[in-house]
Formats: sequence, C-alpha cells, structure tokens
Amino acid sequence: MSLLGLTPVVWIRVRNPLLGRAYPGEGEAMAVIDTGYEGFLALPRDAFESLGLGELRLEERLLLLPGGRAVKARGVYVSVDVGGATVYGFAETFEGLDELILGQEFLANFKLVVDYCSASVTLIPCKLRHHGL
Amino acid sequence: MGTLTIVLPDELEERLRRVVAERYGGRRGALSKLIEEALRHYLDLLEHGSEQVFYAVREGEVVASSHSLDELAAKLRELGVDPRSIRIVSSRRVKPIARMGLRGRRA
Repeated sequence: MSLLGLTPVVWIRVRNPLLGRAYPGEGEAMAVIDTGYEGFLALPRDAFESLGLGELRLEERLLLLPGGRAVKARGVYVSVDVGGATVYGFAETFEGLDELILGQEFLANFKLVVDYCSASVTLIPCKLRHHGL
Repeated sequence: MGTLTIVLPDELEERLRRVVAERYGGRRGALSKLIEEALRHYLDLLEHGSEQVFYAVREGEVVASSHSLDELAAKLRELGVDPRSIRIVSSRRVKPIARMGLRGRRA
C-alpha cells in the first residue's frame, strides 16, 4: 500500500475460486483506490479474461462515467486477497478500462488511512482491526 | 414441498402480482418462485444480519450457498456442478446503475 504520485494504490491478488484461477498469475497487481467509484472492483478486459470470468454467467449493468456518459459493464463475483485479508465482491469490466480500480464496496470492508504527510496508505480490515495490513 | 395458505393486504398482493408479472411473465409457478426467493433473502437477513451470502442458482433453483466464495466453489466441486452452468448471486444485490466517478454539481 502506497502512494503513486498522489494517488493511493494497493497491491492485490484477484481470484476466481469457481475456476481456480488468479490474476496476476504470480505475485500481486497494483490497484488504484477510487472513492468515487461505487462498485467493488473494475478490471481491464485482459485481466477479466485471464481469470476465466468471461466463461461464467455474467450480470450486466450501467456505469456512469464522470463526464456523464454511461457504459455497459459486465461482471461476476470474485475474491480479492489484500495483505492477509480476503474479501468478496462484484468485479466488472468495460471497454477502454486499462487499470484495476477498487471502489466503495471494497473499501467498506476496511478502515482506510491515507497519510499524505508520511506518503503512506493503510488498510485495516473491519473484522480484524488489530491486524494492520 | 409444502403448501401454505397466507393472508396478505390487498395492496401488497397487487404489488406482488405486478412484480411477478414483470419479472417472470405468465410462467407457471412464478408466484411461488418469487415468494421463495424473497423468503430466502429475508430469512438470511434475520439469521445472519448484514453478512453477505452467495448463492449458486441453476434454472431458478439454489444449488448451494455460502458466506464465502471459496467455500461455495468447494461445495460446487463436491456436488459435481460445473460453475459455468450456474449463476452466482449475492444477498447484497448489484445496483443496476453505479457511478464510476464523482461529478461536481452546482449547488
């Protein structure tokens, strides 16, 4: 967990327990924290496909972009491992997305501290507040 | 399967029938299906509070459920159910429209 420039980012591993696949294949991927995104996780098409999510039965919904444009997103539930914690939520993808984004539904599982003074980001799971990540 | 006789206020019955018609059309058993779905959802809420529950649904039937996707996947493997043949739904419904970013608005 750190700041990339002034953007808070965390390192995560996304898993599709239903098909036993993970993204990235090894290690963790950087995800941007976006408190303006109401969802759980948005991920690029290539990550979505490498998890085999496209093979599952997907739900569709509309995402309203900041400019007012609406895009059709499709997704399904996944596991996200972050630090020592695992949380579950709806992961979605849409055309043109090129980074992993963690939104409000993901953050609702944690106490999030963004400390610009020391350039640090801390996530503490709600259920295990004594385990700082 | 059990058969229950229940009494509902008129306005609730009308609302129920309208939603059933919108969601399932005139399909046979649609009313029972929706009531079963609603009861499962409400009973989970009463039993587990706001804890999230995942359901594996095939042709309207819940094949397995769990608080964890990992456990649900294990249950499906035990049952020999292909994950591609089911739909995963959660007790916390996906909003049909969500914001991808905040927009400033004039007061």
